[in-house]
Amino acid sequence: MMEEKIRMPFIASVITILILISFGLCAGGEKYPTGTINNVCLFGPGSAPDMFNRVFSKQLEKHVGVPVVTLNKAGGGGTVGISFLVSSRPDGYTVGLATLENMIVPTITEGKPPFALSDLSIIGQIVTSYNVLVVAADAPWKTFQEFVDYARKNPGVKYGCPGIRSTLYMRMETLSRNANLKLIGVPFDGRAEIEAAVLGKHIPMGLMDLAGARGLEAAGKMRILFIFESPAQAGIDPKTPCLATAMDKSVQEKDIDISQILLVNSKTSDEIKQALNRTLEKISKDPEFHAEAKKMEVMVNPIDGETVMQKKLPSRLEQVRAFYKEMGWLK
Amino acid sequence: MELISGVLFGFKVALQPWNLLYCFIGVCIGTLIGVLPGIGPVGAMSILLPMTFGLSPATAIIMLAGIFYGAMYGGSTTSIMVNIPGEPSSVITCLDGYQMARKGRLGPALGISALGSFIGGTFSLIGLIFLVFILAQVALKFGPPEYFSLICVSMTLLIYLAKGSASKALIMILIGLMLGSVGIDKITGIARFDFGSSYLLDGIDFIPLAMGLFGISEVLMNLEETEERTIFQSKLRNLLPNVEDWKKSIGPILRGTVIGFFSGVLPGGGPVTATFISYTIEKKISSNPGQFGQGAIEGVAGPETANNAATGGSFVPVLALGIPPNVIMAFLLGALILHGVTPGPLLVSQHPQVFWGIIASMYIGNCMLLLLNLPLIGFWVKLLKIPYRILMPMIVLFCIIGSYGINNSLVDILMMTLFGVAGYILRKLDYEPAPLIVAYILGPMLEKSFRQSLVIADGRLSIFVERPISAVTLAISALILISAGISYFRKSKLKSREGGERRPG
Repeated sequence: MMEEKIRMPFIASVITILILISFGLCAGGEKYPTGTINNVCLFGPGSAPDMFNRVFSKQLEKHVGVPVVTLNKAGGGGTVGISFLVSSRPDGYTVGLATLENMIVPTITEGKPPFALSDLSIIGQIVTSYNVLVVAADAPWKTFQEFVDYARKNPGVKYGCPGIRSTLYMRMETLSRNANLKLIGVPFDGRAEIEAAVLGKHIPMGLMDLAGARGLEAAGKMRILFIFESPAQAGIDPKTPCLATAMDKSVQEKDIDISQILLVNSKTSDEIKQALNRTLEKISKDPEFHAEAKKMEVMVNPIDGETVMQKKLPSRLEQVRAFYKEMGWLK
Repeated sequence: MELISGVLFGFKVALQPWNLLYCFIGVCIGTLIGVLPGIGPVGAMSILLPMTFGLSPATAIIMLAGIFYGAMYGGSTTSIMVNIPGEPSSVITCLDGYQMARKGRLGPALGISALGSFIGGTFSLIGLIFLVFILAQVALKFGPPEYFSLICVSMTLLIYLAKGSASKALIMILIGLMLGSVGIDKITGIARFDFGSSYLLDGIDFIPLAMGLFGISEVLMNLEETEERTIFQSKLRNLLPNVEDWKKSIGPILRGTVIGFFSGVLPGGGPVTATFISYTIEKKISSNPGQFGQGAIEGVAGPETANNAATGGSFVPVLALGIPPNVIMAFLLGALILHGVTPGPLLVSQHPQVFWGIIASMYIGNCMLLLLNLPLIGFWVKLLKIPYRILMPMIVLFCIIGSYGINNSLVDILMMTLFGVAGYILRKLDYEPAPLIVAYILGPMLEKSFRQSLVIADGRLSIFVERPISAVTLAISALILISAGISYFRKSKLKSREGGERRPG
């Protein structure tokens, strides 16, 4: 989360003002939506979440028929953006994209929580990112099973991860513990550093998004040893071991997937929430959106908002809280 | 072959109209701040950094780099004409440049510094292309332990080469390290020194810190200046040096190129050091050292070439390893990271447009600068007449807009103001802010690579000496520390002896 350091340009504030003006012009009792919708992004322009946010804004615009503008509200690992969403008017003209962890973490770590989970309503889950474990092309382990056997016999195999407070690290640590792999994470600043360290053989393996790994595998420099999601869906060698094929049911259930969800202020009226929900359903069936998602190396993985709120959120909250407590990050 | 296609690709990027425009804007701003005494390239870059956020990384860095080497050209003009250095790397040019102007040789003085700068700039770019490529190949061998040792050398050289007192530089480095450690710890994820504030949780932002320490404090310093600036009144003619001048200058120019390039590459070096080394060497090997200080053209040609050659050299460690050798490069590194580009061994393959684009744009920029500084020199000379009462408020305004624009947060303006006042007080007390900002950039890198190494080695400190590159680098930094210690010891002994001799009298 901390790696997202790109800041918002001055121009954005001007755009915000323009949008606020347009807001005033279109207020009225007509059928939602009639005016411009702001889609809050928790990170700065140019970051991976920002790119996805822009793709999604375009889709939303296509399906609701009003302009949708990505609004970058970066800072505090997502806190600033979600606080903005919570304090905006609950009229459906401010929505936002985040992960469950972006929502949960600020409410459990800071002294005085900037918002409560009940301030937010989840419209639905949209996409899940593909996460992979890579090794150098000439690594000693030919298969994932060989690696698992080695790791269990030699505790403390190192892997590079993008920051200790990243959700990706939490995901890998959870897997490592539940599958008894006894790995140790070495935090780096982003994907480029992990790649360099794996290629230079300073660490035996790296944890990253599929987007970077695919190119390096094609160039013959790295091998994808394991993927969390379905390899067939990701479009890599379908025989690549994944969570579903290489792990027990109990390990699979505790996995922390990294998914983007659509959020609104919880005080938003039910009609608007339902309208957004229907739109989200349409978007997730749109072949154009599927093509965009493929380009961005994310998996279209729609889950209804109610299901996320009732099932996924509470269990994830428990998991994240337990993990943070153990790491000493709770205040 | 890869090299040639890379260079060609770079020109393709740099010649895009947009990039060409920003390159031109960069070199113009660079020349401007070089000509105007007061604000230096670091200040200007920090003020303009937030305005590059809407641009692509390549375009932004092309413009920022343009400011850097543009200032090296512009700085000489003020030194030669007014005897005030436009920026620190032109200090030495005052010695002989101004004397040449007084003796009616203003034209050749300006001419040789522009031409020397161009030659130095061109050759250092060639050096950059070759050395970066070699370094980028071996750079993959640099893991966390090697980075740690390399940053150790940078830090020790920083103390060694600091202007003025080493103990003051050390204090500034310590403050820089402390400021750099604010925020979430990268290894354990625990928040440090945030005092319960969510603003500090993200760490102290680079831009308010830099704008305050360099921009605002510079303005405050200038408020004190009441001295009238007198412009040398002499006709500009014969800009091109004659055969005699060329005969005298060609040696200093070639030597200046080599000296400049390598002092740029070395950590702790940079344009300022390069000019001093070049001047000292020229004076030492000259058959007529008495001429120096009286308007010797060698004393202008050498240093002016060296400061430009140093710009190319400075890019080598930044582009290949992601380690800034001096404060200006620390800025550029910060800018690259803000734009989502991680400099390092994979830069060439992952961001070829940034890598080759910068290199090609620097060549184009040097050609533009030659035009700006030879035929158009009269224009810059006029600029020396802008009154400070107009210039300085404008700089403050830019700083405020710039720091507000990062997060649209008033806290950033407050931070910038605080650092501005702090920077002013520190300068008044002869504490240079440069070591602070370099330590602020290097400190977190040092800590991170140190602790990464320990995680990789399961806590064994011996990892730093078991790996050959790391061991050699650490040995070098130990040698530097020892030699600095010895010279300090000698000096203090000398002082106490002098004091002892004086006492009886």
